[in-house]
Amino acid sequence: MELVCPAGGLPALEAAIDNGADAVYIGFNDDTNARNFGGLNFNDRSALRALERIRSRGRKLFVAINTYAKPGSFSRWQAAVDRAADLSADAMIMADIGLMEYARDKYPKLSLHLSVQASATSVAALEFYRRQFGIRRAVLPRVLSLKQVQQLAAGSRVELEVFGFGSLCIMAEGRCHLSSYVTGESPNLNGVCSPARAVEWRNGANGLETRLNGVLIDRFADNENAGYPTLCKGRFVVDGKRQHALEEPTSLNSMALLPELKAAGIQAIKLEGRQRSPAYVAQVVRTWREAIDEVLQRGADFLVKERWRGTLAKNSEGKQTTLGAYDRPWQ
Amino acid sequence: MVSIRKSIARGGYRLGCRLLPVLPKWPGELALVKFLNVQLAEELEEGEFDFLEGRVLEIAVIDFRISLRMGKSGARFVRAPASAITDAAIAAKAVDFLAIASGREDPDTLFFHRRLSISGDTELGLTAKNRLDAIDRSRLPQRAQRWLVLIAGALADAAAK
Ligand code: SF4
Repeated sequence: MELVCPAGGLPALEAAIDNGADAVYIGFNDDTNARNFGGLNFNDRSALRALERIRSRGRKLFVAINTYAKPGSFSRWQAAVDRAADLSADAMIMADIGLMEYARDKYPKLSLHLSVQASATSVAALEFYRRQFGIRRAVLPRVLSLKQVQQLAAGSRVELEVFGFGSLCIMAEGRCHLSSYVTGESPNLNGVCSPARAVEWRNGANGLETRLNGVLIDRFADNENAGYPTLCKGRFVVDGKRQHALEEPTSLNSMALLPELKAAGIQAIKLEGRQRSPAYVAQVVRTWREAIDEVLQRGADFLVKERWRGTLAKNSEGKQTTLGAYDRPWQ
Repeated sequence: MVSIRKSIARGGYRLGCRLLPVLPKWPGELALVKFLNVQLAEELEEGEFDFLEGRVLEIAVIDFRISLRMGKSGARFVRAPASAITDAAIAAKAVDFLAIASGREDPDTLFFHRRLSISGDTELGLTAKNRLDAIDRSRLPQRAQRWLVLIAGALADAAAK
């Protein structure tokens, strides 16, 4: 089982390598990737440095070019593919079929991974991408239950990568319209859910208020944990009651499922968080490295250690970690 | 040894809380700006802090009741003129700032736990955070790094009391 770790900059990349990442995924510093935040990600020079460090330590580098090209600007997305190919990255993580066609034709030897943004949830979908573009691996959406993951793994002819830990985007992954509804910018087209320019935190008489493009998303009392204001995790008055109408701000943690995921033949575990600091990457990667080593050794006897649970809980949004969508009995 | 360090940290911390709010803040701002200009010369050259051009970022150390305001002009960080309005402010306690600077804690984690706050222009604040995260700490002088880690650890212990 490969441990695939996030890096928004060189120090995070090093933290990932030092703490046991098998592969690190990065993006370029523009809207060709789904973590398009100011000051984050790699330019050509730092990407080259990243590659050097990855190669000298014998790990893999994946480049995420996982947003959808906008009309009139396809050339910029093509250029991102060219840059990743120049780096001879070990894989490109993509969602746009036009771009995948370009990559397949121009760089047939380069491995393609299907991004979670493509939201492929059936064997037929995976087969389509495999036959059309020769994808080697697919990252599965976080909306699937364990049973669904197992069914997919049984029928899939491509490698599967599953999310292990990180902030939860619970709807239909790339297809969510909530962010563009409020801010005009969406994950798939602009590489960001709830762009920072639209976010406002203000201390008011009733606590810390957070607004997205002027729309009140949530209000936190002094003793409450705060979160990044994505619309799905806000509190709204529904039927006269103020509540998390769509989703609670929790982080996904599928560590307890490691034995089942391994038995199902899942090839890789992905950690979310390119927007987080090297301190987060170091702590979370180390924890998952230990857990994966343990599951490889002990198989079904694997137990989540209290120490791991503590570290992950501390680093997660909304504090408590749950099994997230992997454990939805209603699915 | 450890306990001596702890009591120095605790004593120093109490002194800081009492003294710092009443001292003029320009020496602190000057020292900060100077330090950053030397340490981040390469990044400044590459334009990685251009987003700060003509803007004012405030760093508020709540427990010391001081706020340092800085911006950028040309290829250097500068103290913000008193008349300029703050565009974004990042506020936390000294111990938490040091924990971030020394790589002990993740700023987002501190934010979720309400130990760090951002107000004003969120994009400016987050960009500053991301750029600081991207700085290669191994380039800081060894001694400065060791001190940072030591002080951060001692303060964290002292604060836990
Ligand atoms: S609003 Fe929520 S569900 Fe929709 S893209 Fe953003 S994080 Fe995901």
